[in-house]
Amino acid sequence: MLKIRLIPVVLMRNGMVVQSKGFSRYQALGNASTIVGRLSNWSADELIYLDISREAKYDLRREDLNYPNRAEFEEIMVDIAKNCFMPLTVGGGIRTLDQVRQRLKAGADKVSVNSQAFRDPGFISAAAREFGSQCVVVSIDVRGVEGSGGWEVFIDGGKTATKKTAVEWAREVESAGAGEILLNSIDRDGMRRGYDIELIRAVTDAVRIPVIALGGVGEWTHFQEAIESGGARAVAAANIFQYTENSVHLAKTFLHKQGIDVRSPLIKTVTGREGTR
Amino acid sequence: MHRVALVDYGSGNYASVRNAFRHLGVTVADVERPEQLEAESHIVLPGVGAFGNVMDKLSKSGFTEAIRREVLHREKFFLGICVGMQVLATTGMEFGSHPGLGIIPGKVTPIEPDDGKLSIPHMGWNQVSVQGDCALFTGMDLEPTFYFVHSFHFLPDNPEDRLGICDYGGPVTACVGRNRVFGVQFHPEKSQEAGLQLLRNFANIC
Repeated sequence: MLKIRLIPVVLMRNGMVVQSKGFSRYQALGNASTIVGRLSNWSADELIYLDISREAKYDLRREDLNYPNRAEFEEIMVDIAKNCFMPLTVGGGIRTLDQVRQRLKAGADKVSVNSQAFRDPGFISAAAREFGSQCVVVSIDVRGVEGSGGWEVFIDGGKTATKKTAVEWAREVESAGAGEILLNSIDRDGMRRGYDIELIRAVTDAVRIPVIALGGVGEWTHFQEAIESGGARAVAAANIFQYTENSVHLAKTFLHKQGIDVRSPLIKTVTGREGTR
Repeated sequence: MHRVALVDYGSGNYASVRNAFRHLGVTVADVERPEQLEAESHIVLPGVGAFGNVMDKLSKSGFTEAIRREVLHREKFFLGICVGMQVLATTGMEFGSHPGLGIIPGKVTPIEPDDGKLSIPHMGWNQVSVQGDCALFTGMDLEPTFYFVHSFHFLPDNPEDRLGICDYGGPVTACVGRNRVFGVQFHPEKSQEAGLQLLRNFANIC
């Protein structure tokens, strides 16, 4: 049967890898190629690469401002693909089928779509028809609604409320043809208190497609909770993988020792031109 | 390690397969014309998308005949990846019935997991139990794990041609082979260490 996946997420903002907190505060961590090289560890099962820099610039209707940045993003992607022998998901500001095609061509295996999918759910279907549902990850950002015990979907990088609940929207994206859901809690983003397990459970109970949990990991046991209590088929995190050396491998080894059905973290040496990264 | 000839007929995973071989230090010959295959000893056919589409592209570019000739009559080493493996079959049943290369007799049919909760496509990392002794899996764990993305699989007429299976609500064909011809359903180019090992094993076969 399929293994539980461990997925490092790389957040890019204006050409730099950043840490994010609450979708509002960002701290630059450094150069993308170096950091991605470190995360493209044998223990990672996939890599998600999100460009979160462009939203404000699109709002200004000054796409020209975005050019240098975009060029850099695609250049980095091609670079990553050369040394990334695992599935690569790319997202951030994708609005057209052409943009999907470009990213797949540059080396992505899947794309992650968010605001555009919400504004036009037909976009999910069109992308699934053209490229296959396995290529289409719908990213859902939510905040808890006080007093209700529910969660509201936010788009535009957490700026725009939609009045739709996480569970409703998850069901809709599944029926529109999404292959997977990347579920992110804005409240937990960068907090290190652990995932919102109730949120994850509510969504995994509502859909059959795999749910990737994101947002809030501060220690390895949080991964285990999302899998065992939340029902997540994949666990993702961004910030925590930046704190320690060899963190992806340590996390994988932890999960393996807990008896979770992950791909073995044991590493053999593949000789080759591995110094080229 | 031998040089490998990578058939370039516009397949989506061409660049990834190429990157993986080059990372291993294997020389890659980019083959855009069928006659280029004549000089090569190891042929790799990547593939993503629908069976019929891939066969169409291969036939229009003249590769169908060239691959059959090199593999069946000149006994070249061959590795098909994903749909590049499926087209080895006699027939593919995706979006209607389509003739394949007919190199390993069999049919490509939908995966039908016996558990209704399992979604299609079969996508993710799965363990392959290798049947018998296959040179592709030299130096690996008994049940190595590879990355899969597919909705159809290859059912060879002769069960001995099925060299590897994985479990997804029932057995799913992961690897086929006969003589010098191999096909893998998973994506070695996306399967980290085990995948690279498999590609290197192929380049080392002689």
